[in-house]
Amino acid sequence: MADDKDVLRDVWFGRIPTCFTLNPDEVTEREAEPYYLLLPRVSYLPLVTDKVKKHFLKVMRTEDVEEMWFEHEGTPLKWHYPIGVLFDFHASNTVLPWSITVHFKNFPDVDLLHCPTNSMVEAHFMSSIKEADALKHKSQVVNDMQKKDHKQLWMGLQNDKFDQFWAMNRKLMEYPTEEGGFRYIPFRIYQTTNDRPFIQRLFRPVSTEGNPHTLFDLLKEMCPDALTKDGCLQHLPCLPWTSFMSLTLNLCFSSSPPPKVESASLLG
Amino acid sequence: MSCGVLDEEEFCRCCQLLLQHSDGVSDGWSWEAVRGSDEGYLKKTLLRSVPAERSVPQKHKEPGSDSEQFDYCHLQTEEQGKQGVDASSDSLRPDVEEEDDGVCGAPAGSSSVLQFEYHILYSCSYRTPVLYFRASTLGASLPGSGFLLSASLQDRGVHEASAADGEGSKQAGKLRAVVAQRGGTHGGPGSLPGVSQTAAASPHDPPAAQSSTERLHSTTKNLVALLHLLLGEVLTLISILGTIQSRLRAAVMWFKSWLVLSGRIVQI
Repeated sequence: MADDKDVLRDVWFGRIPTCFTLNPDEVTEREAEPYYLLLPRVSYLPLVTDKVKKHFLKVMRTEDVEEMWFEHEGTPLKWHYPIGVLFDFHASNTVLPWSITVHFKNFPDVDLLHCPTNSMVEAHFMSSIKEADALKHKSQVVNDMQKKDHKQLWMGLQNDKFDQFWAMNRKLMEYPTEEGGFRYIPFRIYQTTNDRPFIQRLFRPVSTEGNPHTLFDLLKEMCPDALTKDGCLQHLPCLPWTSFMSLTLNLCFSSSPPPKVESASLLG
Repeated sequence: MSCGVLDEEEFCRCCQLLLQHSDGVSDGWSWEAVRGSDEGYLKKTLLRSVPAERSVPQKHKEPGSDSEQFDYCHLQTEEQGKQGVDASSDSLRPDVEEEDDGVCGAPAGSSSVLQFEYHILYSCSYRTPVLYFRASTLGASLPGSGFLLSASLQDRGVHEASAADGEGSKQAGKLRAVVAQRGGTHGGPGSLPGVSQTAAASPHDPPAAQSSTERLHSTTKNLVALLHLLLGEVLTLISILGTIQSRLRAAVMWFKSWLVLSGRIVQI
């Protein structure tokens, strides 16, 4: 279990300044002002954009409103990716605030999944939690939790409550001391230079010799092309020879995907 | 395969056997390879034209109050029609037959061409094959509300659900899709269909097999969760159809009033 709560808080309260602008092709009764918001990196777009929707609905006719969706520079943003991953993937090299265009029509069915309610986000989030625990603890911890515990985990994320979330998540981040870490570390590597959405494979926290695997070891095995220079992870200074188990405990909240590694460039 | 789990090599081998059999019976399964790797997944697409019938409302409120009638659409598949199944009691019950059929619905007086797409790929997290399926309408005119039954299965890892289009869909023929997945005992990965995840099977410590009691318990939990969530979705659907019905009645009332007024004007 991560001892340094300051790091956990820094990750949890990470924010991205964002400017939401209505798509010029939307039919409006008057001009729509942009809407500015600090988006939490660890959350999902449908959970934090109610105010954005309300703001733009004021200038639109009801009959012109369909499901809201977002895009950045022509690329639809997948709601089931954490916001931090979306930003790192699409806009980490652009100036702040992050510019997102809001649409209320022509939903891109090919590129995006529909998300009519927050229950979809909850289902996806809990599915990720369970998959991560399948890798870490053979699903024993998550299956031993009661439904109300699952609900608390979700509500903590939905309502941006760090203490409420971690009261439950700490159970999912524990491991036997003698093991040196989880059974496997849940991770995904998102790459802009690859057709695959992400790389996800089984990866042990400790080598057969008993040495802790590092981020370097992970990247060497999963995407050796990314090993060019020192880099940053989740916008925190990080050396590639940091213990990957230690990174996992401090930088992710037990779900898949955890910290995103940008293979095109590791420099923050 | 050892201890009741599947490694990716065995999965690929079994897929090839399935494909041989599928080719022999012209069943339509094919292998989709992931570019630049040995990985891949099974894929199958089905098209089915389904007629729709409208049922008589079953529920009426007390006189003197706003009477509401629940009018629901149900779908009678070709197989049900042949078997003389009483569809009025089946409503939107999922019909899973052999290797195809989800649940779908369309307003009375219209028929739809439904496309079912199935992907089977290997999950490195759960060490089992994972089924993704997607159901969508193709080019059908939907005068009322076109919808696809949605189900959110947390334990089973259903990834996405799509709700009703809403009344008077303006984009007749627009593709609407439900993506769901079932996999293993604990659900599947939270990724888009067609995504292949690689698995570097650990050479050191094969995961312990679950006992049959644990599997039964897990399966029972999954089934209970599935039934609970399906019930929720059906209730949502009924309320949406009720809304549509009430609006249609309001429109009819308006027209009646207009006729009466017109008649009086003529008399004058």
